[in-house]
Amino acid sequence: MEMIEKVRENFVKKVLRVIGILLLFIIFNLWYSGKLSELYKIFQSPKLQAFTIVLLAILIEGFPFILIGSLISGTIEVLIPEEKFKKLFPKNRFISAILGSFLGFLFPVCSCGEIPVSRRLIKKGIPPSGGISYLLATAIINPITLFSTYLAFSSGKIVFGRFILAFICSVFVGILISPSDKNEILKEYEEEHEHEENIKKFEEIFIHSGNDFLIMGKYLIVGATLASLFSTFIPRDAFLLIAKNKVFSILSMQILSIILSLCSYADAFVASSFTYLPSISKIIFMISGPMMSISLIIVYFAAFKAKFVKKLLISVFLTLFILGIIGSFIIGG
Amino acid sequence: MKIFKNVQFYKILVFLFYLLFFLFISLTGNFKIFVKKFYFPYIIIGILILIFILVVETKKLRKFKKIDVYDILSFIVFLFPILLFLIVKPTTLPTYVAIKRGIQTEFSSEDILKSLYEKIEIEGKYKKLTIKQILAFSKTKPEEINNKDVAVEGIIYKGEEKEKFTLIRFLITCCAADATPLGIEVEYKAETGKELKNEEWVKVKGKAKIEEGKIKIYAEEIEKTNPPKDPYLY
Repeated sequence: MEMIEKVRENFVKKVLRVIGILLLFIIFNLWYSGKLSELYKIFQSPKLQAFTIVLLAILIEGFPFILIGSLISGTIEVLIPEEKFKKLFPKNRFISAILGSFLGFLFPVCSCGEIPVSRRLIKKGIPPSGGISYLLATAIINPITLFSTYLAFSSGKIVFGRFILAFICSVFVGILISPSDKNEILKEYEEEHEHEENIKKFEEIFIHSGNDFLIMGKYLIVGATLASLFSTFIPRDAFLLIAKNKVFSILSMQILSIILSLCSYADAFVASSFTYLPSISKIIFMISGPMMSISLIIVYFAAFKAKFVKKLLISVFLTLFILGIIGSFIIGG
Repeated sequence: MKIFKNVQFYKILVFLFYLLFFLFISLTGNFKIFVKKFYFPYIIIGILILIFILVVETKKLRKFKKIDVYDILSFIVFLFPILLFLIVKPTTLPTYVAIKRGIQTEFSSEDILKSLYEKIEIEGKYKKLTIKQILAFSKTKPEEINNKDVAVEGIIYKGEEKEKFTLIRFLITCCAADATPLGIEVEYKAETGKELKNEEWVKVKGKAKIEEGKIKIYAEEIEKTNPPKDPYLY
């Protein structure tokens, strides 16, 4: 194993060196041929401006919540003993999932912040179903998101639809995919095993926060880069055109929500602008995004084991699709 | 130099770079290019947490752990957005985004009423309005806007047609990722808008008219302006 790891490491080193040399060569060549100013034109191009602004917008919005989430997570780790935590949470996986989906009222962190918190909650011993339903529901079932949904639609029905479908999906998926052993979910961090000696609890909290930030942060950057690439170069109309059919409208809204990676406080305002879509497709759009947008998916892989993340994504996608179809029959599209 | 081989050194650099980046956008007000003012307190909380992390992590610098290639890759990933910010020097969303997302010439949202009762300034004979207000008026109280003299700011998007352009402002709810482009068609005489270019900020003064259910401005004056402090509408 160590041998393979060494070979892989050397390969990555070589690739990095080649990329570095190539970049230097291109810059030198441009400078030598007096075309360095061409680079400036590329940097000022509207496409790159748009890409940069959307990327940084997602990061500036997400990083403070990752930091707040990491701080809550670090505090839980250091200050709350595992036994106490187990006593606070019911062992029954069904009740635990229901309770988990309402924890957003206690820890109302945004989509990015909930990942380190839910990881820590599961690590501390709450039943995994509770941690999973918290992970899926928090960004939707919290006062700020529900109020912004009301502002965007001024319809109690839409707010209720968003709330109830998000609740059903998070509880159902929480129960469906939760294993009995938390180790089947949680990814091991090397940093978590590095114990510092002679440090105060206060310092320990920030060491945990810093580690969480470094682990989740880089994945958020990769996810935000993909989301801003899609958001900058793929026209939204491409999805809205195929959304005229009931089934396709639900599917295409699910895919669009994954690609756009909007904040759960804002997605209702974007959804309300899709005036010619059925209400159920808009509701599914507003649930799917906060549960499995591309930037979140990448961070899920940082926090949880790949096998579990794949199960989670497939379950959420299918559950929402089925709920969308059932919903379209109940409320007539 | 041993310090350059210590992974802790690069961890500290990441925290330091992000701390400086967040401090810079907060102090200069540049954060408004990316997110709504609503997020400012969260950015400040983020800065405070980063300061504490940085202090605690700096204390660990004397511990040596050799950097490996994956640590270097992580460092490059963290550096990428900061470098992009420094090189591209973003200003405001270009009209390219408006075309990709589709320009909305009708505005309907619950805050219409709020937008109608915002304080309206007068500039000479013109009512100073935002594109959001004009679209809201034309939708809910057309008599208040039809045949009225208005002054409105925005970015130019020139299509194929001569002596016409669309004046654009982006409406944001949280951040630039959710920006919705609002637009009004502007018609002008050749001598009024001789040197107009795409992406320029202008103030259009003229008469607003509702034709076939859509609002249009017949420009009497078009002056180039600097981008406003708040580039977006909320």
